[in-house]
Amino acid sequence: MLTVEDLTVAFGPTTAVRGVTLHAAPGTVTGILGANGAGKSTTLLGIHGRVPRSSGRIVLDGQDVTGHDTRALVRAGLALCPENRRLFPGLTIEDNLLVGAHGQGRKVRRQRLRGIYDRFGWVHARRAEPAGRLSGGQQQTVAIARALMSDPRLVLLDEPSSGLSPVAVDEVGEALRDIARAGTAVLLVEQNVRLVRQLCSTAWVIAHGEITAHGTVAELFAAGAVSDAYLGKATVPPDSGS
Amino acid sequence: MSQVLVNGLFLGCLFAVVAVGLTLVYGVMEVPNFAHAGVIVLAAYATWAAGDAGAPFALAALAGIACGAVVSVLTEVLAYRWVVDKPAASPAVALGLLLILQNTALRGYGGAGRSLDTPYDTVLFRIGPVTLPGVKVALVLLAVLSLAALHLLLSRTSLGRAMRAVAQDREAAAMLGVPIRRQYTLAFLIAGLLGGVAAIAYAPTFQVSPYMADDVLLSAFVVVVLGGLGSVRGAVTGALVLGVAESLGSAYVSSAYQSAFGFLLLVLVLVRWPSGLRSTDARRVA
Repeated sequence: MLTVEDLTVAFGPTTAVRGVTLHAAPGTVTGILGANGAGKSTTLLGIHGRVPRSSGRIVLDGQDVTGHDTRALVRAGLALCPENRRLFPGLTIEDNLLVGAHGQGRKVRRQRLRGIYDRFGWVHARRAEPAGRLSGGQQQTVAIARALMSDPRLVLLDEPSSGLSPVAVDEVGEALRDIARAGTAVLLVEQNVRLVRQLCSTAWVIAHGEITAHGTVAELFAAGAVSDAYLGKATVPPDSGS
Repeated sequence: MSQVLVNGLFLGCLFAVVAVGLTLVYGVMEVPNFAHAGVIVLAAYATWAAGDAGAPFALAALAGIACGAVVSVLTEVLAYRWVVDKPAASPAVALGLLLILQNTALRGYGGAGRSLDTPYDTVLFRIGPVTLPGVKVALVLLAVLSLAALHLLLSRTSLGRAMRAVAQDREAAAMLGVPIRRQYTLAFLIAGLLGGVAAIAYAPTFQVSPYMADDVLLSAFVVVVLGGLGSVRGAVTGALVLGVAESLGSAYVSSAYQSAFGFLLLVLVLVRWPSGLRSTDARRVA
């Protein structure tokens, strides 16, 4: 599904992500774990073409999409649900969703909208309300739904539980599980360990911009790789070139 | 009194057409587009030149509107686009463009004013004590039609939705695959069309000259700040309020201070609402 090889992102002299290689499979939720500032979000933005890549190769379903800009990546099936939701507060919920399918024909947009309303019933009931009036959890659901409007094969999700109540986190988790069950791959950046344990089959641990461990979530927790990363004990393997 | 209010409405409609073009561009691109006055000037000259060459007024007017659209898009493609990430540079670029456009008109047609004749120059409507000159009625009709068309475009079409999204959160729109540069161009295209409409509505009551739009640009900027930067509805409200305020001040205090009443109103509004009547990011281009 998604293969990222040797992704490096630098801002001037500062390298934020160095040589990241990872995979995400269809129908699964794959986690990217690490402490604040480890490079998780930058990795997602680098994959999605929102920050300049110094090097790296992005392959989606066997198609090399490295040179694609964000618009072409979205059309190829790669959707990003950014940190803090980033809904358009003055647009209605329905308009927010429709922006997610920008560039598609009217018939396709309506068809996808129906799919979203079937999946999230309350969104249909409140579709004419400005998105800015929703609670954090509801905004996150709409943000995820908006990403789904591009009919993606892979959704990149950045901290969906950030700022949400435990109940809202559970609802978001349920929505993500449904999306994966439907065959879409999800690459999840998340600090909420409980959510990661509930959702992710495999995960990549990142520290100081480099991958330090990879495996099933159970293995990573058992080996202490996750706690090391969060507590700042993770070190980059000596053969990584750093 | 009713004549004064009607005159204020005429003035407000003119301010609205100019100010909506300015606020739309500001909302989408955050550029103070001083060059908009130059666009109006060239559109007015194009209308005058087409009429002078023998074209019927309707055709000359269409030529003027088309000229406004083309010149406006050119300012975006050739200049503003390159400084979009440099907010400190864009006002200087805007002033430079205004000078270039005004001097283009000056070199092409000289500094002397030229009158733009319309088929409705001599038409007068009378409703009780109120006299409505044909050119001013045409101004109101053009303003209402063009602003209604803009409202439909922004609220009912995919293009308008994308433009509002870009105005509210450019980066989020880009993440969803919305082509941002195309929205910039579209905003300037619409502003140029409105500039062309303003030119053919405004020029017959004054004269076509390279500096004909300076005063109206200043008033339109007052309107944009009054209404809230980037807010289309705020600009329309602000324009009508300013038009009536200037008309009342001019009639009952002194016409020499007509523009001063606008600035007085601006100060009073900003004391109460420092961001203008309708300014929040959520109301950008809405």
